[in-house]
Amino acid sequence: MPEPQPLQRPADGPAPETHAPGDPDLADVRAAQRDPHAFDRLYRRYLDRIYSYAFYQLGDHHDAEDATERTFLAALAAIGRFQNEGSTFRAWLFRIAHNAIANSHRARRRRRTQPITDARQQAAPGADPASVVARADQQREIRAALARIPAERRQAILLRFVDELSAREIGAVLDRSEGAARVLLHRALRDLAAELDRGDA
Amino acid sequence: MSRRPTDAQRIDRAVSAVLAGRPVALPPPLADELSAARALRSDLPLVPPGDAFEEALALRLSDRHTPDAGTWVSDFARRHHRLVLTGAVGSVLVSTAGAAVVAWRLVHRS
Repeated sequence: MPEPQPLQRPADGPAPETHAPGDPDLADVRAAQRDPHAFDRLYRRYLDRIYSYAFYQLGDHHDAEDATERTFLAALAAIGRFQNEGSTFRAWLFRIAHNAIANSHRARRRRRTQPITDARQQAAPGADPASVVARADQQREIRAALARIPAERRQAILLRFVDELSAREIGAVLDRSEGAARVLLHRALRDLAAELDRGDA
Repeated sequence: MSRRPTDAQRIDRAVSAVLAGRPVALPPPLADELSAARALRSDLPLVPPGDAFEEALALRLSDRHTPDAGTWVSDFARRHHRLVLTGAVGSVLVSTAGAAVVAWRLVHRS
């Protein structure tokens, strides 16, 4: 079972020197369109982020794996049709993930199962047990507060903080304008701050 | 004349600073949102999948773009249609000639 890790960005993130304007992944996307074996680079780069996005929404590792698998298989099948028109590859990829997760939610409603809402905490070797427990409590509090805000606001927060998408990319994923995505994120943070405040009280 | 940024724009810029680890401050009406952003930055970790899942999915993706025999034949035919056409016509001619020889020998044996 995978464990949450301290907030880290993948070391092999998009390489700035190969950027096409506006889309850091474009060179790798073009390579994958010529040779599908090159898709592996994009897969390794975005696996953790897509998986995290799915896990935080579905709250279950099995469902998150299923949604992640469907996302990448669909992306590979459609990569030849991707065009860099007003949106980035990662916004396109997260849009696929967004739809896969929505399908998982629908399937779950049919199955009527309960998600597991608690991700396990892994302690770093030699870490102070008291600080590990305190950090686990903080993470649990954040996840509980996130679970209480409206779904679309939660999605905006996950896309911004876990996946580091811009407001424009979030708008592309959630089918909104850039300005509307900013407002959504602002309201999401306001709701979350209120929920955290309520938790403290 | 430049317009004053909206609260949503100010929050978005502040979030970019928080994610980049740069110092940032906002006045009281927005300070709570900034505080929530800092909490998210530190307590909402990436959740990587297991290694077995990562490799199994990598293998599935690899299998998906390794063409099977049927795909290979159709791809080859598309790219080398003249060669394939020549081969097909040649094959028909050889078969016809073979059938003619067999028929001739059957007729002349009797």
